[in-house]
Amino acid sequence: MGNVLGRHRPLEWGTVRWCRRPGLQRLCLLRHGFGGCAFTSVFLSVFHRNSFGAVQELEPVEPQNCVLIEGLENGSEDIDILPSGLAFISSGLKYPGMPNFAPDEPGKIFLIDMNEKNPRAQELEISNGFEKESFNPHGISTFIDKDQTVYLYVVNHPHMKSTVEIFKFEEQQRSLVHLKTIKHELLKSVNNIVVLGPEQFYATRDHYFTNYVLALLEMFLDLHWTSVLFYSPKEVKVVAKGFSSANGITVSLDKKYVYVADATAKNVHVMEKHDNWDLTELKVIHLDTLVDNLSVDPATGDILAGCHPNGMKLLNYNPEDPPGSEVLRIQNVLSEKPRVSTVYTNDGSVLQGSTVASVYQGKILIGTIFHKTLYCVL
Amino acid sequence: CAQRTLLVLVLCVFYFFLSSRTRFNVHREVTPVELPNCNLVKGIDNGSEDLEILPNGLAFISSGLKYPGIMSFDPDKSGKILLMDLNEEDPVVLELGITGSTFDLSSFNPHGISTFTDEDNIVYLMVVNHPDSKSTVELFKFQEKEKSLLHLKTIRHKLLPSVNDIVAVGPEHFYATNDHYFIDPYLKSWEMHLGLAWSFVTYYSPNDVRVVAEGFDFANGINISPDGKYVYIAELLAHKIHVYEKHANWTLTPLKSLDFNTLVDNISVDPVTGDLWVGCHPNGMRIFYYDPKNPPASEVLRIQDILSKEPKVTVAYAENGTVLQGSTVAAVYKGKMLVGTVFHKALYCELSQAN
Repeated sequence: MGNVLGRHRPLEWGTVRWCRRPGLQRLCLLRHGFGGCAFTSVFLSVFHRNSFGAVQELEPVEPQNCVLIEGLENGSEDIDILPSGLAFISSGLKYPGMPNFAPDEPGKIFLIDMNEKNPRAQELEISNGFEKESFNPHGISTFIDKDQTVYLYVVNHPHMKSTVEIFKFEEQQRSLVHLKTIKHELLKSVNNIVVLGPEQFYATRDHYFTNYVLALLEMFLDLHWTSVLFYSPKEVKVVAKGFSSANGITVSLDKKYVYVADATAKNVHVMEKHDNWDLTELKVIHLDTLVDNLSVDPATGDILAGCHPNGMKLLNYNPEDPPGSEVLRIQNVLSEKPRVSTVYTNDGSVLQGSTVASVYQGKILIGTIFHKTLYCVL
Repeated sequence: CAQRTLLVLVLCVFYFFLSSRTRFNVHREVTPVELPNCNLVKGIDNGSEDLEILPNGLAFISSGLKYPGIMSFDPDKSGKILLMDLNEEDPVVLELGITGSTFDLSSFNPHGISTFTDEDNIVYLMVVNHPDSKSTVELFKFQEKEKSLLHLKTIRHKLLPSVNDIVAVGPEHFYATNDHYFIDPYLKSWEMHLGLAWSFVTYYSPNDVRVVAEGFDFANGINISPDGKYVYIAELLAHKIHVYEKHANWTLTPLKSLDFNTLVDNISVDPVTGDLWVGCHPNGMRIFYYDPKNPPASEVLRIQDILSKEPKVTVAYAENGTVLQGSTVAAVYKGKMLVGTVFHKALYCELSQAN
């Protein structure tokens, strides 16, 4: 246990040392010319091969009893567990620049009963005329209304656009009935959502540009042009701006605070939610790792973050040098000094590219962008 | 804040536009330098990106390269290794059959090549391959009688993300240039256009793999002096050839660099004189942005006495692209020169008396 900072070691092979150190900028200018150097410096400060999470030779932290879930090997980008222990998992995401091990298959939603001793993943059938071939699910969020009906909201990227699909969960048939597709001109490059009322949700935009080439430049230059939106049938508005790449989003147990992960800024923003749905920033928790999706431990209120310890390995995917996985727990979120501890780390030999971790009664389910899914008894 | 960022963006775009014009050498035009008796090699129409001539006059040529962003006249055809016997009066081109059960011929996309001859005179051919835009180094054994290549091994390594050329220094040992740091074609494009200069050189051997030189603006051709003491590296977009001293432990230390007014591609070394013969792109814009109305030119440089205080550089051949487009490599054998190109044909010339 303890703070995750200070675990970094320099990469075993060389980096462009001159441009990194401020004192050697002049040498850098001579070597590369101003243009090359300017970009190298900006790029490096975000995507630094050392600090874009180069935690090489990480000490593995693995709970004793872990198994990989069979049949969930093509990604499990987001997970949401109902109070009853039923877990929804979005799988098969096709995201530009990210690998996909089954590119010809459409995305799917799986269900796992966390109460089972040896939990299995079951694909949920989707009915009611929904276009399944272009289904490309990303972030998800469940909502239980007053009469206990369970709704599943899913960020979808049909043909690389962004929509939010609303499904009704039929527990007995283990199926999803498609109800509605939400589209809006502000709903672009949507990453994740958290639903707080019928058709009322916050959504994160992870890029400003929808064009992939421009989105890459946006990332290199670290423009901080991404944002958080509030959507409702009556009003749609931007409630927070200036994120490097807003990613995971969730709400505190008492629904007073919204937590937003800023992936490339490597931090989590704690926002106060007002009656008119506006958000104001309360504090920022720095994590020194790229933060993807967030979930809240229903027992304690702790935040669980699925993270990417080495973002460069994710961006520049190489099966010979795969990206690892990391799950962090943030306790005492609202206190002066939140406590960050490591729940799980792996160098990619077991799990590559973790994005999310959700807990239920002493068990944890860890999902990834494009790889396998891990179930552990803590 | 948004206005400031926009200003920065505009300045950035303006700046890198200016530096691109230098790096791609857009203003260069070619003064032709002809050779007495040049003929296009029959049967080579889809590139001859790299070639190497053995001391006995047999030449290996890699053909059919598909490189993202670069022209290819027949992108659906898989690549080949060709053979020419330069001892013949009018050498013909022969496609070498490739045998080996695990080798996928359909995705063969050959780039740089290098030969290694062991003590028993067995010739090994190492070929940089880009199956599905990835990078591997394929190891073949040349079977002279059968005129075929037996595939022995596919080498992949995390320090070989984007290999351009190799120079063999042992049966499974080589130096490799990685022309980019990134693997993804979109990231490679940004890497090049932003001039990040993250290209690097790796030493590979079965037990030891490491980066031996880095910070290049598109490291391209690589070769070694006949005595094995010096390694030559061509830095395409910086228009430089670097001379490195090779140490017993395979590390490289920089000795000197030569500047040119052309984009330097592959380097061949004359085994007798030690001269460097370099295939060049006088105007890089025409190679990276192909326009049939303004085709890329060809240029071959010869560098003599490279280690001396004043190496002698001569233009052995230069042509504006009407005959030969996009030269990448040139090698000599008994008074003749073979010139290869990225995606076009190949030229076989008699060297003039002066050369």
